[in-house]
Amino acid sequence: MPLDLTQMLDPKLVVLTAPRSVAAEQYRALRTNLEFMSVGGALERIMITSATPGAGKSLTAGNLALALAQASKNTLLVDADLRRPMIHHLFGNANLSGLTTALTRPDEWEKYVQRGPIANLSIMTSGPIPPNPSELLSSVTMISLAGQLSQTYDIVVFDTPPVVSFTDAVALSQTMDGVLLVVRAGHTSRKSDIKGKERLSQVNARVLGVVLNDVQMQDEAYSYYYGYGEKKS
Amino acid sequence: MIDLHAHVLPGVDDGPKTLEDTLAVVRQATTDGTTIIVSVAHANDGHFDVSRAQYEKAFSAASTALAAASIGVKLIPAMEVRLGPRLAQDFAEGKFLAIGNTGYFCVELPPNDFPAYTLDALFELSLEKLRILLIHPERNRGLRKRPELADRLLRMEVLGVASGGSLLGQFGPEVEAAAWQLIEMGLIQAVASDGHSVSKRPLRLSAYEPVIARRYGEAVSEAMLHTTPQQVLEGLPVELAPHERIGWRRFFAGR
Ligand SMILES: Nc1ncnc2c1ncn2[C@@H]1O[C@H](COP(=O)(O)OP(=O)(O)OP(=O)(O)O)[C@@H](O)[C@H]1O
Ligand SMILES: [Fe+2]
Ligand SMILES: [Mg+2]
Repeated sequence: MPLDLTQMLDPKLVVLTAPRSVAAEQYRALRTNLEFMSVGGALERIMITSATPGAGKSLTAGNLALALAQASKNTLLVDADLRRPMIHHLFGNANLSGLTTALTRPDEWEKYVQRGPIANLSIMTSGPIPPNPSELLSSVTMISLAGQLSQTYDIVVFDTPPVVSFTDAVALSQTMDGVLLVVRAGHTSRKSDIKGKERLSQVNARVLGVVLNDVQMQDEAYSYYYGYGEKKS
Repeated sequence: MIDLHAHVLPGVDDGPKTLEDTLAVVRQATTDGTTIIVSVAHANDGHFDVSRAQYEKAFSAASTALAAASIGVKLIPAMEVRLGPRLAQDFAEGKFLAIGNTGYFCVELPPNDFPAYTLDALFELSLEKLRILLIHPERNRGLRKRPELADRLLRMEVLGVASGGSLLGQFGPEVEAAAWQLIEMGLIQAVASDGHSVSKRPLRLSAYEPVIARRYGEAVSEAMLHTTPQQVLEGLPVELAPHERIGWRRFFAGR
């Protein structure tokens, strides 16, 4: 009997657990939007972040990665949130090794990639937490690792900590092709969201748009994507 | 009960000197209700540096003697390794033993300071796929002086185990206060006997149950003496949730 992988998955990974839900449909729409945007410049490395904690970054990263893999994109999901790593919890992976191991042993980074629950999805969990996460994430090794990852995969999705609390995501945005900001309906204050966006703009990160998470409609919570409508030449 | 940390092997460190002493301390533990003992010996310490060969020899001698005396206890091998700058390399070269095959590794800080390389050395160990069990962190003076260091250990998911004697004031009021503080912040999630001898440092876990329960409730004493040690032996991660004193909030709210 084949193993039922959905048993180990967080049920909120709706793209896989409830593919017909409105929420799952919205993640697929987000994927389509990204496909359109990549016409204006390659989108091989995408970072998911938010201004404040608990916005739904990890859930968005997980669902988006699933939606991309379902569209036959060879996808890698990386947990670069070394403050509160969640990807291994969401997908039921082990986390004794991962990104931090790959960063300290970059020649053998492939050993720290795990198989995801569906074809085309690979997962790199956070690995053990280092004493100084921002140092590791802004290192030269991180830049070259990100380069190697995007050479190997069609698209790499990075989950990160919130920008207002830590510098990690701001530093990491420098090696990304684009950034998605998650805002949780009714959760974060507008002021901190603007501050978050500012932090990223200050370093010239390409903010692709905002994902409005947890919109309540017809007894169902889902995410909605707003692009910034940027025009790339 | 599971004792996550006790010195019961003969003639390898400051624990029992002879096999008779071993039988006596283990008998004391089983009488008290302990069924599993993580049997440590000091390694990489200035005074005691048990080698793997010495450890294994003493371990099998103790196991044989316990079986012959029909003392029903399970010993799990482990070393209590003193912090040093190259623990990870030494571990990779096979110098040290983790706790059985749980993937947990016992590290002891030096008593007086918290060396600058501490966090890096622990991180390097965790890159070897080890989870760190920090033995009696309350007894480290550096950590007592700088509580922010405990916070950094917590963020690195280092799991602290208090020595029961600390909770009873056996190492002085400062150590006792530090133990409670580290429990409340979440770094310490389990208590072990750190037993060495029948009289001075006994293997009597039951003595700690009431002091923990009085302060935090029975659910917490159950977790610290039973559930969490069990999780460690199963090689599972332990959540570092803070513990709150019973009635403490009410006490302040009422003033
Ligand atoms: N749309 C949603 N519907 C229901 N629950 C949600 C939704 N979005 C997030 N949650 C829940 O809220 C919590 C936080 O979500 P998540 O971990 O994805 O946020 P995060 O931004 O990654 O948080 P952190 O800042 O801690 O990394 C989780 O328990 C998640 O299951
Ligand atoms: Fe000890
Ligand atoms: Mg998260």
